[in-house]
Amino acid sequence: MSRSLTRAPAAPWTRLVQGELLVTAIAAAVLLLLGIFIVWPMVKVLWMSVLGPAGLTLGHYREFVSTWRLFRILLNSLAVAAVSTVLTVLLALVLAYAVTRTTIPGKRFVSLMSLLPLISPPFLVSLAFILLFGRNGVVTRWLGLGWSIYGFHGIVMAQVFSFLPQAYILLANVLGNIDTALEEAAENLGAGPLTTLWRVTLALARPGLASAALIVFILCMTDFGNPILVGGRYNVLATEIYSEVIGLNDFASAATMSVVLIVPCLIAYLLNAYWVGATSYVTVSASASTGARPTPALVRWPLFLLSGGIALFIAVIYGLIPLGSFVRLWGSDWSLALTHYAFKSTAEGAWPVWNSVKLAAVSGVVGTALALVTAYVIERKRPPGARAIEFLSLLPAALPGTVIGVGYILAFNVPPLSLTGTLSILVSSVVFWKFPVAVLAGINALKQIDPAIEEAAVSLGAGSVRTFGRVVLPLLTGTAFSIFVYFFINGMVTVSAVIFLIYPGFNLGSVAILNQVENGYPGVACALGTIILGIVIGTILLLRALVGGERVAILKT
Amino acid sequence: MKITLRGLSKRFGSAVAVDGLSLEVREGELVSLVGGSGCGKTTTLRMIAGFEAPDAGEIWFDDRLIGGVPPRQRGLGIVFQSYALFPTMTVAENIAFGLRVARWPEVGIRERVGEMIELMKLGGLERRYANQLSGGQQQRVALARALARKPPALLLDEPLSALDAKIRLRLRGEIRKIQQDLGITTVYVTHDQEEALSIADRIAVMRDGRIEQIGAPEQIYAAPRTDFVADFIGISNLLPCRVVSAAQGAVEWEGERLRARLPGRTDGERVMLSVRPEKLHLLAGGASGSEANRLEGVVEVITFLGPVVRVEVTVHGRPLWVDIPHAGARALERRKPVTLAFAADDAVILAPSDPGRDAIAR
Repeated sequence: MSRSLTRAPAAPWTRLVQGELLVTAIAAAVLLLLGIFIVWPMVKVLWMSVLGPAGLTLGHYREFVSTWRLFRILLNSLAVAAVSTVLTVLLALVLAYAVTRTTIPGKRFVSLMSLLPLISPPFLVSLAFILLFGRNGVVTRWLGLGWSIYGFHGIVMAQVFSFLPQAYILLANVLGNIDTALEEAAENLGAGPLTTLWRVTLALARPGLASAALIVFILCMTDFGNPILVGGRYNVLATEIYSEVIGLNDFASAATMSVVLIVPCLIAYLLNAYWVGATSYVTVSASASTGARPTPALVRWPLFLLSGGIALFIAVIYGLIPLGSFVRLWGSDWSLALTHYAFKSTAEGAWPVWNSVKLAAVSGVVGTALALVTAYVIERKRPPGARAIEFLSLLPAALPGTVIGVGYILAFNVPPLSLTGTLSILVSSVVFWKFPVAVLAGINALKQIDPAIEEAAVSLGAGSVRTFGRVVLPLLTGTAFSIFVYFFINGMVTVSAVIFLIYPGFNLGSVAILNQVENGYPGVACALGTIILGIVIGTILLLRALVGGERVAILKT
Repeated sequence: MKITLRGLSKRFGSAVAVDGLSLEVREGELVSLVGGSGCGKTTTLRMIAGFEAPDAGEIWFDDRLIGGVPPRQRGLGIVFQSYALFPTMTVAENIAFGLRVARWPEVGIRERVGEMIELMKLGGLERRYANQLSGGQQQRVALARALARKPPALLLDEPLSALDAKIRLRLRGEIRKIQQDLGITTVYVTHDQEEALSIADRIAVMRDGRIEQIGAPEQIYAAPRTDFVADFIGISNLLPCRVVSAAQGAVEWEGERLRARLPGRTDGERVMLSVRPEKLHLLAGGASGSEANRLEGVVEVITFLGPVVRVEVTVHGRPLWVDIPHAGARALERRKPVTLAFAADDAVILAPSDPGRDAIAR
């Protein structure tokens, strides 16, 4: 005792490495990064939207509200998001109920198919719909329809199947945790199956439904890939912002629309975080029995047909992408060939895909390290400013990718941080835009670890660094790989933010798919999509084989 | 090492966890902090460990004031309620962790780990992980890990609460033996009064962030100072009485005149008379005894407790417990009248710690 207490004070630098100073320094660094890569771009967007030729002005907003052509776009966005949200949540509810609370056959297939869109570029659904219902689509041709996918209904259909997984996971989790004893109690008290479903089960799931609806609403509002592929002449804010920047180089207008787009997203985000979060019913207890109960045939078979049908349809959608890549000319020449894999329609060949791999890998490593350190600082160390770090880390969940893209151009096109035209701007856009889910995963994993384990290490003389490195980090390997996979997938499939930030000679696979569709080469787009899907699935399987299956989870947005 | 606490206080928000607590743990002594949940015993331990900073008061290790010394430099051995073994390390790695941090030479580490494995009877488990051990084995590893660095003092926070009754008894004997063999100063937090009685040199009974009474187990058991202590440590029959004559040693309870020793009491004062179940006797069938006090009652419940039989007797509408040997219980029947007897010397007179509690005290 006397040895350790009376020894000479440690040199300042050792104290810095061992003590709370280090934590404070790390917290300050994290806060600085969040300030630069989240706050600063958004400030630039806001600034640009109120900057007129002669000082500050609200003229851009006045113009937006008073010009029907522009205001109409906001209404379009809201209408698409509202309809898509309702349909998505309803479908997800049916699927989640069928999988968690009933005894229908084929649950694993339904569950697997419901999750598939999580690991693919969201607009692959649109691409598949084009193959089915486009002007040369199988169904359109076969039935000789004068109708096609492009427009409001196309966006809605594509969004429903793109964002189904997010709603499904959330609702399956909520429904799956409801104690069956509650339903049994209701029935024991004389309630019929419908009364039980409505008054007990769904009543308990209500906060979950609200949460799912708000999250899906944000995803639909900010969705860029689907509207640009199947929107036709139906404009929404996310795509119009892109046109203003890339087509017209009108940053003021783009910034104004960005702010207009952020507002409903932010409202939905805050509602979900502070209102729904506070009302959720906790019914999980250690002794709770959860799971399926015998289902009456009258409910069972319609549910089976519906959920099985949806799952099958998703399977068909994803089957169409590789199929489309092997068919010589979709809609007219059905012979199989590998011509699309020669990538003759573009000078870049398949290079954009390898650029994507590079972006995904770097984002994965950087993002995982940053997210874990941030989660540890927020959850365990709570230095001054921890709440600000937490708020800023989670805020990007409310930010549209297009707005991030615009903000990054505005913020990083000029010194002191002129990053445009470098890989680092792409990496930071992926890392910080996708930061919330990663940080939350880290926080949740840390909450599972008994704080006494860290206290034990400290009482045995270990400092902050050693405690984190030797004791905490080894417990987080599964989480770390899950976060890596999450960033990797997003690096591979993201479009909306990076489409503003790619530079000559560095196109990305996901953007190349859009280019190929726009240029009329859906087959080549399918080939690129197939390769991307293959890489993503291959990476997940490889990591699972290396680290151990269940420990690498697929995180949801 | 001697641990001295002076006027230690800690609040969490508006809740007072520890309230001006003073305590001296002598060199080589095992002091048990015992009390119900929320009495401040764990908070006190965590302040000694350095995991919580006191709002007021001082902590001394021997003659050194341990003000802002961070927990990692206090050098104490700590055993946590949840054991807190490092799940990614083997038994041997867990035990060696503190030695590695202290940069012991590799040879010394191996030797010391071997010693601890032997001391804790963990032979053959060196390469196992925590989730491959039973609760009792995990507890041994936690103790080995805490003691490996030869700490000057040991802190144990409810170390046995997660274990089965049988293993709990065996381990508590082993902990006591090792503690005495090593002569290590120890603070032992538990909510289990029986555990505290059996293991401690001295017991500090805590309530509302203060020490209600501190003393050797026999002393606390035989001479509780308040009705709270009497009730918390062991089982007591508590009778709220009024002093009739302090000089003659007479009190009155429910119209009954009872004898007890009443030094320093005044006539008319309200006191609490406490008598342990084993100090009460059952006089069956008008048998006579030498005890000064007699109470008539009716047998309510007969409970078999193993070594003794506990009989609940209703006297003046109140349940009193009597522990008697098996032989005496055979003749007993529910609803039959019996006579209870106890000696004046076996009645402990306490000041009611809270007058309002008279109404609910048994």
